[in-house]
Amino acid sequence: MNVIEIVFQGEGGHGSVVAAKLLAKAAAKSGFQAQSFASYGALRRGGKVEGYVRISEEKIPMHSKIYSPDYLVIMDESLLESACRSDIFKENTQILVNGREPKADYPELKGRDVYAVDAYGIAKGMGLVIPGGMPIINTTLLGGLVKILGNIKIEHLLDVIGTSTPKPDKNMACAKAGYQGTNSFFEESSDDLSLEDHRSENGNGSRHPVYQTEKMAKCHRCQICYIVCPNLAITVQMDPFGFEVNKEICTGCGICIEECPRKAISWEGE
Amino acid sequence: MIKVLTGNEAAAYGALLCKPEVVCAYPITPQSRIPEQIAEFYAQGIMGGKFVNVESEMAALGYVTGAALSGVRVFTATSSQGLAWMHEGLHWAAGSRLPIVMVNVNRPMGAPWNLTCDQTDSLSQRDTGWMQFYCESNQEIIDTVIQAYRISESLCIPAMVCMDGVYLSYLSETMDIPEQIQVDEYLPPYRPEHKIPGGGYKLYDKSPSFSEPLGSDFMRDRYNLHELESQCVQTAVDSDEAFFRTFGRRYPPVEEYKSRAADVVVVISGSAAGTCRYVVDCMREEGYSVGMVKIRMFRPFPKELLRQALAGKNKIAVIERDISVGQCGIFYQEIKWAMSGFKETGQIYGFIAGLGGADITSGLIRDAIMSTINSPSPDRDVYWLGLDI
Repeated sequence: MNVIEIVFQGEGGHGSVVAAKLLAKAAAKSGFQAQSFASYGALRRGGKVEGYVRISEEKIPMHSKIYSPDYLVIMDESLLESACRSDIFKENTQILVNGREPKADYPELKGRDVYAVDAYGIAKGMGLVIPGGMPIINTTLLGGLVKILGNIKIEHLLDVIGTSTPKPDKNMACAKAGYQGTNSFFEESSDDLSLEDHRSENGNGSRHPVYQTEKMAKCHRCQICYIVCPNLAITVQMDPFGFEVNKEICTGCGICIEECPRKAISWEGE
Repeated sequence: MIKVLTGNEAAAYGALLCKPEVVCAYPITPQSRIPEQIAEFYAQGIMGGKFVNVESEMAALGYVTGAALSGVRVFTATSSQGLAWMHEGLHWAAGSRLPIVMVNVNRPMGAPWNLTCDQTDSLSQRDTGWMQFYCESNQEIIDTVIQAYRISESLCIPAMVCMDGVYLSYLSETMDIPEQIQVDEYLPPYRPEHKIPGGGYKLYDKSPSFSEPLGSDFMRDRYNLHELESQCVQTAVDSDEAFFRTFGRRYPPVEEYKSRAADVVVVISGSAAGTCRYVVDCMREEGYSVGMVKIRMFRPFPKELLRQALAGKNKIAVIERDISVGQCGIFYQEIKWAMSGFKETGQIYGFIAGLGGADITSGLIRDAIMSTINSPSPDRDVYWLGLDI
């Protein structure tokens, strides 16, 4: 049977699960059989979350997770590298990345259809933010994904978003803008793109928390940072006793900064 | 009406359509969405009767037991530790012959804590006298809730409708919500003889819980219950036929899928049965003689139907998401019992998979089938799938 499989890769707070559910509803409106579910890591903001969607013209019997999707949506460009390091891609996997100019020069992406949309920029522009200013990106990415998929009508997506999101007008505007603003990444910038593997020393490329020497004086070694990190990116140093952020693993979620009772951790460069 | 709903929402819609007069359920992950959704129905004014908040699962079952004794249709739902907390009440409800319908979302029993999927919680309640149904899809959940009321009320035996935690409870699927008018036709209002016409209730004094002084006729009560339970499978088959005539969908207690002409048959239940269908289709195309038998009804165990389905099969691979620790899989144990003394029995292999929410992938099911095909005879009671030992 012919089933299209889609994975949304994100972290708690990116809206991957809701995106998966909205897409399944839109697919059902377009006359397809659809299924969506999710797998959760740390069950909190910053923990790894994957949303899964299956779309087919026939009844879908499978009830297992998706390991090799036809379409992969990366909810934040900082997660692209870890996706490239995993074995999630199959031969024709197409990729949609949320990012203004995502660093997409990984050899694993060579020859693939990679698309990008600046969902943070679009959502912020539409005023679709949570208190504190963080943009809500999932509906923008859904607009982009529906454009790439081609078989689900954008009207059906807008219809579903309009009836099942708390800020329907802004979410619908974002989906429309995402639909229009999603472009093939390699087509636009293939000239100056070298496909060698030159990952930065900073691992996945986003901002990371650091322990600064003057601030470390405040540290009481309570180990809360070590415990709360959803990705086990914080390691214990023995001599002198303290902590270090492994930038290869850190996804820059900032939970440790938030949770540190002594304010001993801060963003890099702050 | 076509909708995309999670398994939990499907169970809540099933309850809505059956019009219970009392709903009392205590929230527990991964079941919480069921009482939440039902509470929303009440808030919207589309559900009649009473929705009661209580302080625990034991109280929830106690409340619906009391309500059922007064002759009303009731609904509750729970999961895992909550079901275990109800254990005493489960015996009481069945012993009192009360047609309570409860949805259980299958979640592992701690320790260690795990909020995902495992069927050991409800299977370990197998001796309480409740009927048990295991669902494969969200459509089957809503349909089974409706069927369960009909079967349960015709025999006065409580029924448990089980769905896999996460893999169904959190999974959204396209499904068809039955029309209320058709449900009303299939499931007439509950009018037990102890319900006073025109409203008002008196206690169900024919219930064994009130029938005689302390235990004087206990053994006869159990005999009666046991004899009635032996009718459950036939009642389930008949109710399913009636369901098919009304709704066009059917779910036999034991379903044979491409297994009639197969040499090797997988016996499976719950959400993994869907994935198994896909594997059987793929392997059939490759030329393997494989089929699937899905067990939907576990209590009472449909022994004769299973014997018919498995007669003459060379090899039987039981794949299940539960374990009687130190012994073997629980379905495997029951199937061995059912096939014991039956002359057309093949070799039975017992595979344990997906405990604690581990994914039962198409690859794992294929591995189980291939190792069954390639093995001359089973050399142990438990084969672990997807675990490096």
